[in-house]
Amino acid sequence: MARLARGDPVRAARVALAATGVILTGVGIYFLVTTEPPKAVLGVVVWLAAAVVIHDGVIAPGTTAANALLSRVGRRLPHSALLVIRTGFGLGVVLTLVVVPELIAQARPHANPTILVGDYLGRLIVVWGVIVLAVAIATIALTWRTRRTIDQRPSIHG
Amino acid sequence: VNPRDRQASRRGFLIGIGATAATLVALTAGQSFGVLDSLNLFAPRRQGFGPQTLPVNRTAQQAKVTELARDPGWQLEVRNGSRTEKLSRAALLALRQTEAELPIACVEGWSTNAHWRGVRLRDLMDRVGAPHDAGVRVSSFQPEGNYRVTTMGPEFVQDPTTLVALELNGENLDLDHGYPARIIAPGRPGVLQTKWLGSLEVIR
Repeated sequence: MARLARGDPVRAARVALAATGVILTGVGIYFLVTTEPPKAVLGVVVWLAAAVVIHDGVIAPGTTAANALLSRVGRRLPHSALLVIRTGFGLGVVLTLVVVPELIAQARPHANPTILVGDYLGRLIVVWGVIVLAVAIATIALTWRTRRTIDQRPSIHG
Repeated sequence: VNPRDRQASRRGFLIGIGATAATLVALTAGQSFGVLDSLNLFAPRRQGFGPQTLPVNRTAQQAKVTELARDPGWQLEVRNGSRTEKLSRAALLALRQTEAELPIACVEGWSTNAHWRGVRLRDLMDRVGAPHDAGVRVSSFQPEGNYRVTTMGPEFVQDPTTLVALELNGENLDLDHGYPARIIAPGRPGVLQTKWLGSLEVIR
């Protein structure tokens, strides 16, 4: 990225955004510690720490490993196809993360018949199927198109 | 990595995140937005799924109020200092009834509109001579719960659509929706729409 000089409007905008963020965070912390009981503040701290631990300990390594695997397996695929695969897999994982707690809650006894009313597992399987199918079709189409473009290009070696 | 590839991968990343977020919203937001109801695959609630086509956050059984709510001797106590009025459900139904179209908008992330009918809260306040700048402490007769007692400022008390609701979607309020009477007010989160009303107390 190009280095931005002083007086650059993008730099000014970034400084303004950062300053606004710092001020709002400060206001939030002030009201948190002045209006909430210590137990609630501790709960927020634990929650935030857990978010960091889960991100750094589970999500980041998982993403890195999946990406490493994809770059090895998909070495011969075009960039666009890799993007489609990443997006599809990411979408499936995010939806799974949403649905798993619902499945756990459904398996436990609960007294409210108006919640957890769907067949979430069945739907998740169907959605994964749709994702895999769509990604496969798009990957084949993109790969085929890219190969054809390369084949039609005149050879520089004559 | 050449700069063009890097730019393409940044753009690709943003497209991927955007597509994922849009799909997640499309498949879950139907529990609050009617237009997305047919796409609602993964939200914990469905619009219209529940007694009187309205979901429930906490049932009468969960709140342990079933017996108390069925007590035919139930009366709503309305207090202003030493002045107290007690009104049975029949007495409340005999007062001027007002209708309002208001949502239950739950902080758990679902929202459903409903048609309510009951007595304007400000009419009840007038009966005990409460000034128009007074707030109200609303108590439920449920034995426990974080929101058993809540307070309401005068801006809500005086709103013409704030009701002590007795009917919902054309029927007597269901036990799970707060029978014999509940609060429904505009612009307040669902947990403050107190169910199974016990008393209303004027506060200043």
